[in-house]
Amino acid sequence: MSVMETVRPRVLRPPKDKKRRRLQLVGLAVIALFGVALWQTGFTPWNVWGRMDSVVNLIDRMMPPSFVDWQRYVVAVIETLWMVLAGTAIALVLAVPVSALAARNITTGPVAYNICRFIITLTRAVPSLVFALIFVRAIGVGPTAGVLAMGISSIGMIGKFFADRIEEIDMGIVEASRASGATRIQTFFSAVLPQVMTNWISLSLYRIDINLRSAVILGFVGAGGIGLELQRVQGQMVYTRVMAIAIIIFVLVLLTERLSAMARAAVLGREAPAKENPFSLRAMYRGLTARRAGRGGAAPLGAAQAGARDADLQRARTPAWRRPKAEGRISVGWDVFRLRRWIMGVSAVVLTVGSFVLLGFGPVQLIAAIQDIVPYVVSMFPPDFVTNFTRHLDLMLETIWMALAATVLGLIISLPIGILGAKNATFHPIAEKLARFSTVVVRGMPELIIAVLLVVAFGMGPLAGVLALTIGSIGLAGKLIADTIEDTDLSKQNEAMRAVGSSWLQRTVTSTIPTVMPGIVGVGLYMFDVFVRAATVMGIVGAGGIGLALDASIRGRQMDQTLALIIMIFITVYATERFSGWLRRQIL
Amino acid sequence: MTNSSSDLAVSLRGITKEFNDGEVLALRGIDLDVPRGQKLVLMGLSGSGKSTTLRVLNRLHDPTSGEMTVLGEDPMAMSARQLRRFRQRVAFVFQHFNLVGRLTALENVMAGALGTLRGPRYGVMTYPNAMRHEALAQLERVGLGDQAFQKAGTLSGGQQQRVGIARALFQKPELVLADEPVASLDPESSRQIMELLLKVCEEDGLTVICSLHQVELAIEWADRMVGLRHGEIVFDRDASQITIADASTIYASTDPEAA
Ligand SMILES: Nc1ncnc2c1ncn2[C@@H]1O[C@H](COP(=O)(O)OP(=O)(O)OP(=O)(O)O)[C@@H](O)[C@H]1O
Ligand SMILES: [Mg+2]
Repeated sequence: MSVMETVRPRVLRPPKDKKRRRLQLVGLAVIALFGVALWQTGFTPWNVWGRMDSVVNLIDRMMPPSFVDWQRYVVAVIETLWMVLAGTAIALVLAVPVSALAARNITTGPVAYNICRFIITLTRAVPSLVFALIFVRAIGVGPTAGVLAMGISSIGMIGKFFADRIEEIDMGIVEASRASGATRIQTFFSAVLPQVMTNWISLSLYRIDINLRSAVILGFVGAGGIGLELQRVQGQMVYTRVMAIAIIIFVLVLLTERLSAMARAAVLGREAPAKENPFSLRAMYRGLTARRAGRGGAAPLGAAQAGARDADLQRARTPAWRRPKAEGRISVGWDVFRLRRWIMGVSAVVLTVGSFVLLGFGPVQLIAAIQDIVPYVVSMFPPDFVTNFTRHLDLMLETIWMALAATVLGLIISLPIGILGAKNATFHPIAEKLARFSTVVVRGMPELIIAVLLVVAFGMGPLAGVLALTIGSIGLAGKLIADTIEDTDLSKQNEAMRAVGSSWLQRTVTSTIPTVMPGIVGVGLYMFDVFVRAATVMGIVGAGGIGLALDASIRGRQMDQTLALIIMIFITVYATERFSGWLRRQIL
Repeated sequence: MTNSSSDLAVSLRGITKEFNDGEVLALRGIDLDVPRGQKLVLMGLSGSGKSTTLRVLNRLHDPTSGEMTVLGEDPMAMSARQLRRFRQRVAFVFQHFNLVGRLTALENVMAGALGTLRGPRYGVMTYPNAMRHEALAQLERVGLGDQAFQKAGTLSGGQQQRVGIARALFQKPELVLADEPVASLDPESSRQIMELLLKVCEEDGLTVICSLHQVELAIEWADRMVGLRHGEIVFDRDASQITIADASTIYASTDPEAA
């Protein structure tokens, strides 16, 4: 021991290893870039504080909310709901063939596979608002443009999910069907569809929830519904009515979220315990990160096995009275769940057909719309990258700075909210309820709508956009972090921490945060992904970034520049997704 | 027990503990005096209340009724701040080690002193240098000097419990509570860890209350053995007067679970 003592350095510090140094480097880079981002977007404390009086002023002008035009709003809300149903229905119809061809195990060949995967990638990366802008210009203001925009831009996410589920199915059944001489289409309906149906229906219901948010936003650029009303009163600068509509949107979004969650629970019935609902935000996020990590060849096989195991489990879990009887008639008996599913199915069909009828949207209108859109889209070719190139590049950089600033600011705000909102890490049950409540409230306000209001208070420019995204992060990251922490077992180590007499703050910093750090980093990268996407359209409402140029080029009918901008957006969003995946692998 | 009360590390009177609003009666009136410096082993079947007894002693659980004096103080009458200071004097060694897996062994040891520090700590360098050296010395004492900067989660079970013991010692406690410290380890490391724990506690003159399932280990190391059954003390003797057969009676017959 005495020998050790003499050798020991005076200041004891951790040895420098490669991984540590790399992490430190990444950390320093993020801090430095964050500083640049704050400066580039004008998000400095004095800038924000300097405008506080105009925020107060705006709030003052918004109070009390005025519902005098309530009849108009009711009509607009109903129109929005029809738009969501019709848009989702179109997306579903288009997504089925796309996903079937984009599933490695049942696709017809590499050409079809690659085309469909590209369609998915493309429609996932280009924000729906961009489609809406173009369609509104091509076929005029009204819900048709919104329905089409939603229909096309939902293909990406729905198609990807559908295709991933098809890749996980039990191929034995498919091969048996093929061996019996069934055609491809017959095989699809008899062997593939039954295996994925529940998951698909569930995702469709989830997508309705997402599409409601986007319908509100699409409306703001002229695509009908309550968003259009918002644009109207905002243009007239009647802020008491803006407030009224904001409240309506808020309630509408939260109600839909609830209803969609309930409907999903009803569809899944007893088959999935509530916590493992595959369409919760947390499951979506986890699926995203997991799939990205394991994009090897072995992954689908493992997943398929897991799926088969799930099926076995489910069979075992099914109570005897629900299992089909071996003797007697060959039909599935009617029970509460089957009845409920039938009722839901029939009402879904009725509502969807009704939505097309009520929106006056039939085959004739569809053909007319396509006739308007095609020449418009053709006029976009060839893309013009040259004109205004430096300005577009500047705006694109601004977009990325906005996303970066909002991501780091968002993490700084969401981390405490996430910790307080996690049952196993919170300070007090009341704090947990408050934190969870705040994440729910923020989720009720689409970021772009927040941006619209902030532009009024802070003026045009990236500052409003960054602020809107930062506020929005509470709903996204706050919830994800809280869920991540709740999924981590902290009880043992925190018990030891309590036993040494530590305070709650000490436990949080020394035990909770280091343990969930990989999760927090993951949420941060995911948020950056989402925010780059969101920041590309902030400019459309004047809140900074590339959207400004996009809007201007469409207004100025410089469609070749519009296409160039869309391609730039696509590349940026796609590259960001790749980059954050790469960074995740480097760090974790 | 001939000691006067000031020589007692622990004194329990009629301690009961209910869980789930009285559905589970974990302790049904425990009376126990433990003189300072004693090495006491708690024995008993699974569910007999050993962990609950230990947890009540540093108020990880609050007893439902009864009186207790621990290290001359009444933990029940303490404010949150006083409780934190009190817990510094009572170290706890856990069956599942309860380390923060993503922190280094050194940080886990230093976390034992959080109660005496003000404010939160994140990372080795946020602790005073003297404390870092002291923590390293404790790790060397349990034979883990070379693994000081290894993540605790990557250590073997036996090594993790050594870190747990180093953390306990780092608190400079007067009383050490150990809840089945070797139950998750293989027989060979169990012996080593028990040996280590009791050796260092003897060196520092600490009182030890330890729950243990291995009768031979208990007889070898304990001064005194106390047996619990259904939340009551059914057996209390000096270890010197005990044979393996005696101790085994705790685990035998009358209890249906033992069959
Ligand atoms: N947090 C709790 N909530 C409810 N009941 C509990 C809780 N902790 C312990 N119990 C119950 O109290 C009784 C005593 O449990 P305790 O953990 O003290 O037993 P033990 O002697 O340590 O057993 P083991 O050898 O299995 O660790 C058991 O019936 C147990 O189910
Ligand atoms: Mg126990």
